[in-house]
Amino acid sequence: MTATAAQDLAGKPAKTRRFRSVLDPLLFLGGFLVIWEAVVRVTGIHSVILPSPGDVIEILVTRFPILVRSMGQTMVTVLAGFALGGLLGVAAGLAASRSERVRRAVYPFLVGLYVVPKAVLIPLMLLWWGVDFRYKLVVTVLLVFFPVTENTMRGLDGVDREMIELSRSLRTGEWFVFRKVRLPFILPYVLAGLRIGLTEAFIGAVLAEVLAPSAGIGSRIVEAGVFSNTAFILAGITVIAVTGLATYFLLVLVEDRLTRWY
Amino acid sequence: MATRVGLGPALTRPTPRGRRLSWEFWAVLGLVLVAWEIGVRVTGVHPIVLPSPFQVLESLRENPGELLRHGLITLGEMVVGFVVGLAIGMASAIGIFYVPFLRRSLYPLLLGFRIVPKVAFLPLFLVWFGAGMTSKVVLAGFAIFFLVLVQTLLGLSTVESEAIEFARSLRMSRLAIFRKIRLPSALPAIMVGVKLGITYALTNVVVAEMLVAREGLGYLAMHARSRLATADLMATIVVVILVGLAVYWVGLYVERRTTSWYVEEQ
Amino acid sequence: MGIELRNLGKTFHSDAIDVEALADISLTVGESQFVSIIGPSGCGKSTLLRILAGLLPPTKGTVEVDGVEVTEPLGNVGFVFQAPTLFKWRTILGNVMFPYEALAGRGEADGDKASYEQRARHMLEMAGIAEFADAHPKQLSGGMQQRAAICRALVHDPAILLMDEPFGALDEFTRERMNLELLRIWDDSRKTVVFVTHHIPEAVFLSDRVIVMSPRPGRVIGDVEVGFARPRQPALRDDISFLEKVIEIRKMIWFDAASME
Repeated sequence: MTATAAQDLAGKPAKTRRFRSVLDPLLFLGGFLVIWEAVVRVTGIHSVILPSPGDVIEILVTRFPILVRSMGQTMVTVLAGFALGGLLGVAAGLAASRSERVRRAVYPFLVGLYVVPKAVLIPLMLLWWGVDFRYKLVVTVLLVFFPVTENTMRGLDGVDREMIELSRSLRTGEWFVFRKVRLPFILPYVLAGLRIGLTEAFIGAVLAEVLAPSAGIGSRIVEAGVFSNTAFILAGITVIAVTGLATYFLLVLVEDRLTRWY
Repeated sequence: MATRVGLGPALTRPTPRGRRLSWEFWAVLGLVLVAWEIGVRVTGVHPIVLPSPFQVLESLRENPGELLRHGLITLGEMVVGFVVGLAIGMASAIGIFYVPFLRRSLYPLLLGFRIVPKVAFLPLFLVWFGAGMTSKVVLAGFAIFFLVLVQTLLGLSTVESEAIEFARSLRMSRLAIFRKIRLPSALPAIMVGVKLGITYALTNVVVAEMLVAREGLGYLAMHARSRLATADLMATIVVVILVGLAVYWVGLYVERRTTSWYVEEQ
Repeated sequence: MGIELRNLGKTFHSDAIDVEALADISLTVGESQFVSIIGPSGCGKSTLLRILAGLLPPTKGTVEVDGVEVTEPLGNVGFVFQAPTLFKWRTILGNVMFPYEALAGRGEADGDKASYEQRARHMLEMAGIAEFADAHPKQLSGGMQQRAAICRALVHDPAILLMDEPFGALDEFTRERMNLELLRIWDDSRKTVVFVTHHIPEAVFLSDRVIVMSPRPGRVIGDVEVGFARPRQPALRDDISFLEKVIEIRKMIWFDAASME
């Protein structure tokens, strides 16, 4: 619930607020779809240019198997890239924070990698590996890696100095401090980084599929575009949106569970 | 509800000052280049797989005109897409902000929409606009639009309610409140959107060029790949990286100039 | 466990400038004494505390705790900071047990986990927060969290208790209440305490002795005996002799400040 949405509904009982915060977006969506359908019917616009919601739903129903199958293929890339990129990101973040020197040497590369269009590396990867899973995985990992590293490093920077002093005053070893103080402390930060990483994973997987024909919903959408099957394009986008949201919410659930007390 | 940490990477917040490139960085860069050159010579790897740094440099030297031409095209598309997306995004955000129902309903939808890769819309734009410059600009503009929209809404929402109450107690008009309080307060968040948006626009333009175009750096890269001209490909990559960095620094500069007064709440 | 400081000095070196935080401090704190250190900001009180804990080495002079020279953490101090600094992810009991884990990790715990847990629960009871043992810090108020921090500082039966403006973040009413709580908990074990504060009435109320420090570089400019009977009662704060003590100390600080101008 955003700050201003909360302000709007302030003064109304909690139940109303929660209800409205779910209802309003749905209302808008519903209204939007109705208007869209009406516009298409009234103007008689061709479905290649603008399919009606009905057309899109029809595709969703009739082509359901292929939509689900290709989304599943994409999800393999998403999840693999997310897991690998996340792991590498956390490891890199931990490593970079151990030594200020390492950090100064390596951090600019990371930032540089983050701000430049990483997609330009795709032709190179295609040249090396052709259109296979490795290529898609690397693209995804590349995108997931940096936000996770960045957030891990920020977490480690933020460890209360007094917590460390407390541990030192009890003469604990470095490993003990790492295990019992630093790691638990950075958990919320790492999870926040992973949340961004997940979004990037979707971007990476779909991007890789769009730019080079292979398995996965991105490629199917491009194909549909070639055949001017606009309704399929929109159906594909809808499938991505729904799957993406579901995955994101799962991650948020996990995050909330793990950081309940923070 | 647990504390949600941060908006994202530090790059999504106004950037702190004073980051200089240390000698360690240059040392590592130099080492990488040297190792690369030596590695290529020692292993005798085919230049199609991995050209040496010198070969890449050669390619850069040989084709400055072409690179420049395509580079300018890419930049041009990026600027147009960015400006259009920025203008429409900000205008829409302001409009949405002052209609409570829209604000309440759209903000969650927009946040949820973030997970959809905007590049998935490229085929749609191709159907609508064909394989030309328009599609590329529209993709960039489309992506920027949403980014700026979310950031502007975020910025407008995070004004301290006390500041607004104070202004109301002085019976300031809504327009005055907007101009003098909300908009300046929103500026840091908007500028973050600008900073990210510029690089985001560039990425989207390059991606669009790679899929279908006859011009632009993205096209150049794909074309080099189809010719197996790896040195040319890497040269193009270098140019794109340099352009990307330049564009990012421009965004950074703009952000700093407009929000130098901003102090982030700890 | 007496504390002995001899000609203690501490200078911080940096590229830009050398900062002399403490200059020539000589002091003896007897066993079971409750000593407050008071002084303006920047007088090095916190630095002194950290040197006592062994977190910082002195530049000049020596520090001895019960005859043992302190150059690095001895591991047998209790430290309470201005912020509770509890681990949010642990329960209150888990937090109070932290020193046990630290000691056990080095094999230096005198007793097993069960005995420590018993001691921990006893402390929580003394502090009046026994029912929050399984709660998490975010469910407790600032004052309660600080009480838990004090328990944590005492669970491993340290030689000395060091407190760095522990009640600075609390409002006046809570502070006064916490003063009483602290004395009650302290009364149970009567540790040697070095208590840093910039609140004169608090220093007088809690201590046997108040050490007054000058601004940087920190020097001892006053050593005032506070002889009121224990256990200290809240009514003491309204007593004339109490107020006179406070005035005496305040004059010391003002006089020293004036003489600097």
